[in-house]
Amino acid sequence: MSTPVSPPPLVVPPAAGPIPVAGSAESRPLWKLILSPLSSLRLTVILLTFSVLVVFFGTLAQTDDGLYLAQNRYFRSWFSTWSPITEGWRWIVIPLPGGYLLGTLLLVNLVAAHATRFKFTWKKSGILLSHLGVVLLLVGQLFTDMLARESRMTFSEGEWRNYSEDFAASELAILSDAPGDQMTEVVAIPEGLLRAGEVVRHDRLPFTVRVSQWMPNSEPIFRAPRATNGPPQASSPVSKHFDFLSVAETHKMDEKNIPTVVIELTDNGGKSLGSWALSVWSGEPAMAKSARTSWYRRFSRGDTSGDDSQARMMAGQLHAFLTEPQTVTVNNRAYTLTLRPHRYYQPFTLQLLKTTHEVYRGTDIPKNFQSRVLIDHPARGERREVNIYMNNPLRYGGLTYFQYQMGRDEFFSTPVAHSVLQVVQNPSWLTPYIGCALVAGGLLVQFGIHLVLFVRRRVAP
Amino acid sequence: MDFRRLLPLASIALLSLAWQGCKREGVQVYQAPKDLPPSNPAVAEAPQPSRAPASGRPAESQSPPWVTPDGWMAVPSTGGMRLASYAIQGSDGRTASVSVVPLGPEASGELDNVNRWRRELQLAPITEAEAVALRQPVKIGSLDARMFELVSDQNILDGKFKSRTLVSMLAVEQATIFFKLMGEDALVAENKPKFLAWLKSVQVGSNERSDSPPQAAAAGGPSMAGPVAPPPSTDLPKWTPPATWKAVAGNGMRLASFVVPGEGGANGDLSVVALGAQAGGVVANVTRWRRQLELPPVDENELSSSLKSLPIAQGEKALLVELEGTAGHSGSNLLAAIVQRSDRTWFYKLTGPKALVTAERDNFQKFVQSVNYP
Repeated sequence: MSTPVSPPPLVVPPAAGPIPVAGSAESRPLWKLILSPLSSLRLTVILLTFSVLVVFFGTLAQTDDGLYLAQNRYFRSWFSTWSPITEGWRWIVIPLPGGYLLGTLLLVNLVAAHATRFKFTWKKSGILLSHLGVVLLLVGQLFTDMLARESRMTFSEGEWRNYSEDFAASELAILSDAPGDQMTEVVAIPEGLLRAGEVVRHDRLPFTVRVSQWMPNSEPIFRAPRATNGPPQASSPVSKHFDFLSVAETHKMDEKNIPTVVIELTDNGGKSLGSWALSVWSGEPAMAKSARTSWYRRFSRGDTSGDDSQARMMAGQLHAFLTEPQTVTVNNRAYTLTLRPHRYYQPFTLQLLKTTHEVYRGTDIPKNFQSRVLIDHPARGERREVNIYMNNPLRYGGLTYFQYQMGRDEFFSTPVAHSVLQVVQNPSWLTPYIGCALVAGGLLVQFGIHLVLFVRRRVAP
Repeated sequence: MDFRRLLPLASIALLSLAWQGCKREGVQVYQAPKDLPPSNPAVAEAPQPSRAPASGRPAESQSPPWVTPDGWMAVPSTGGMRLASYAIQGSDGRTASVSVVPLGPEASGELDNVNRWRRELQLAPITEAEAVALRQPVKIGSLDARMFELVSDQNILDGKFKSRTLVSMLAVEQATIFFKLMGEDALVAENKPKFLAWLKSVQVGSNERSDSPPQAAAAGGPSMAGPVAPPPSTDLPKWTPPATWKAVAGNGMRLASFVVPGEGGANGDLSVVALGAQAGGVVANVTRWRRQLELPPVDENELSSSLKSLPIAQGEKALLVELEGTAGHSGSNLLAAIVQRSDRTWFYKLTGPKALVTAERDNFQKFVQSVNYP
């Protein structure tokens, strides 16, 4: 017979004072106390559930908001809300965590779990490896989000480019001749500073820029020589011929916002130097060309003579008015003002030699888009031709050039083909590949270990 | 593995990244290579629009056949009719515009034109005698011509300004050219001396005639006749008219005329006119015919949907226009064919009672198709 042993008291009388119990809160350091709730597996499940919901609602929202706005609203945010787009149901507002919040919490959850619960053993090395891959995916995506830059390079056959242009952000560029005749000094004011009422001063500018109006999206309206035109928007040359009308912003994937800004310049004495309406319609050559093609189509639409020279002439003149340089001269130095997509310059140039646009016979389905490009990098003494086509980007100078779009400028009687390359700079572009490899490798290792142990047990007598 | 050491480092890295992403962009200053000019032959050789397209034809290197006054800004026309346009900017948003418009010779009816301009100014129509009294003698180049000056009664411009119109016509052999200054009352009045000087500076060739009998024409210099209409060829095309049609002598601009007999002695009239290739365009001419039949004007879209195409010899096409006159216009119908060729535009026009025009439609089309151009 054994002597009955009384179990340890479940409740310790207060008078007895604290008794150290293995695994109790008191025995753990503070950092573990804080991290314990964050390491919960329940939290993991909740976060993954929310992730599924955010992906679901974010995908739904793309139909109305377009890809970029939906990305910003649901995935590049800390919090967001979703409402149905159907009239009568918009009062429903579903609050959601944003992608940043979920990603951060998942990362913290995983790291905290390892810090508090996981202990390294060779038996669990596969799990550790997989988790390291997940961490790399999460952190890599954060790096991509913060550091990656997408832009585009638009050029016609035969043209050179030594810069690419931002997809969305524009800048007010104030250009003046730098010493020598090869370079231009650029003072670039980002569009974030171009809101109505903003005042921008800079040491390199002998004047102050006052923003009167900012239009995120606009259309050029030709001031037909009729008496019903209102006063011009500004005193700049383009305003003699065009009014820029503010229109609703677009979020569609196949449309683009074309901003316009109206500014006034004042000299250091506060005296007005005039006002300028500056638009990306004028500042981005591709947009001015697209306006010209659109005018040409409109003017030649009613013409049944087959002679479209007059339509070309008129469209060409409007294009000339639209792209007339907007300048101001202060202290005998001329400054050219232009609103243009934000530019990223490279130390090399690309020339578009030839475009190839093939479709499957009898359809409009693209078979092959290809740009033959000449790379000219004087500093490296490099000059060579390459082909860029679908699934075969050019990786050069830390940038990746993807074939993006192709088109033809119908304005010319012999249409001129142009190509648009998507230019991606992503220092962490390898992290998803490494992350996925780690996850796959980790799972293989873990299953392998389990298999070996299982087989050993079966073999053992 | 001690995560305690890693956590602060990771936190700092994440925070610095977040700060990097959220910080507000500032003004950047840098030097960049100058934009490279297009080296594409197609782009470089493309017709570059003129900065001062006074003649409305930048493809032509010659200067316009007149002296453009200071303060007049050349602008491209928005329609197909104008040879040239200028804008005049006044203070307080006041504007005026100058246009040079060539129309077919049939557009030279003075009373119709004066009443059209009066309608634009919301003025009541006047009689022929009243129109004659409004004539002001002017010089277009070296030729005597007439000018009309009209002012609105009401403030019809933005509800603030009266509108004034100055207009003069020059009838050349194949077209009538209208020189018109219209806009805010006082601004137009200020620009009247410039307008008169501008008219006087027009270099006219030997083909023009003003409303008055021809005077000695100025010689040399670019001629208005050149771009408007080439001198008519003396070679008439060969055609086969229906046996019932009776050829009569052409008069004025008509190269040929036919009497088309109808029932009850109601005859139709068929005319053949050839103008320069730039004969004011299809829209202008059809609009003018519609006006003659007292029909409301139509825009280009409506017009193009009402035009029919008729294949003719040498693989070319004629545009057919059929207009039904209003009851107030004695029920007259118009059937016309326009053939635009590289050198000239040919107009075949049959007018007459509705029943006749309908009955002769096939004959008319066969006639137009029978024409063998020189």
